[in-house]
Amino acid sequence: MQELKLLLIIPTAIFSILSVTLKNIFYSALSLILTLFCVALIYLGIGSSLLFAVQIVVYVGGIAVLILFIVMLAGNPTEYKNPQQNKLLIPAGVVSAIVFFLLNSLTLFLDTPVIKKHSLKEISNHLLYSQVISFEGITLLIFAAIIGVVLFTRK
Amino acid sequence: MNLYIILANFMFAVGVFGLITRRNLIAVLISVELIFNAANINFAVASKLDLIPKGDVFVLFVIAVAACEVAVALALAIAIYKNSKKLKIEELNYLKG
Repeated sequence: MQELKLLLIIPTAIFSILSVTLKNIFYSALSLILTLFCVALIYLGIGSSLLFAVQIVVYVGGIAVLILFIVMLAGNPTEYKNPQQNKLLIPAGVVSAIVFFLLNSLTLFLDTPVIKKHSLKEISNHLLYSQVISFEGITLLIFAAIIGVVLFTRK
Repeated sequence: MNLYIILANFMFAVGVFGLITRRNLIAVLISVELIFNAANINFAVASKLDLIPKGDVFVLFVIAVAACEVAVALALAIAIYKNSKKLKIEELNYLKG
C-alpha cells in the first residue's frame, strides 16, 4: 500500500517541478497535464471516485486544453532560448522552502487514522440541500465569467 | 494519508516558487493551477480524515472557481496579446503610471 502511494506521489512531485522549471512553455503545459492526471489518480487512490471523474473532465479535458490552445496561439518559440526565470531565483527558493516547512510543521501532527468514505448520494445531498446557496452562487459566477470572457475578447 | 498532505504542501511550495520566478503570463497561470490542485488535495484528504465534514463538496466548488479563473485569465491574455504582441510580465507595466 505504501509503495503504491509512493508510486503516485513521486511522479506528481517530479512533474510539478518540471512544469515550473522547463524553458519551453509548451513542455511545461504538457507536464502540468501529467501533474493533473496524477492528482486525479490520487483522488482515486483515496477513494473518492467523483473527484476523479470531475478532475479528469474539468482539468485534464478542459483547462489543460485551454492552456495548450493559448500557448500555441500566443507562444513565441524564439523566446524559449532565453532564461524563463527572473532575478528572484534564490529569494523565491528560500521563500518556498520556508512555506513548505511551515506548512509541514502545521500539518504533521494530524495523525487521525479515521477514514470516512462519503457516498455519492451523501455528497449530492449536501451539495443540493445544505449548500444550495453556494451552488447557485457558483452558477452565477460561471455566468459572469462567460460574459466577461466575451467582453474581453471582443474587438 | 500524511504523505498526501506532504505532497500537497510540496506542490503549494513549488507553485509559489513558479509564481515568483516565471516571466511568462501563461507560466504564471500554470503555477496558479498547481496551487489550486494542492488546495484540492488538502481538502480531499481532510474530508477522508473527517477533519472537514463533506470536504469533497469544497473541492467541487474550488474546481468550478478555478475553471472560471482560467477562462477569464486566458481571455485577458488574448486581449493583451492582441494589443501588444507579448506576454512578458516585466514589460506589461502600462498601469504603473
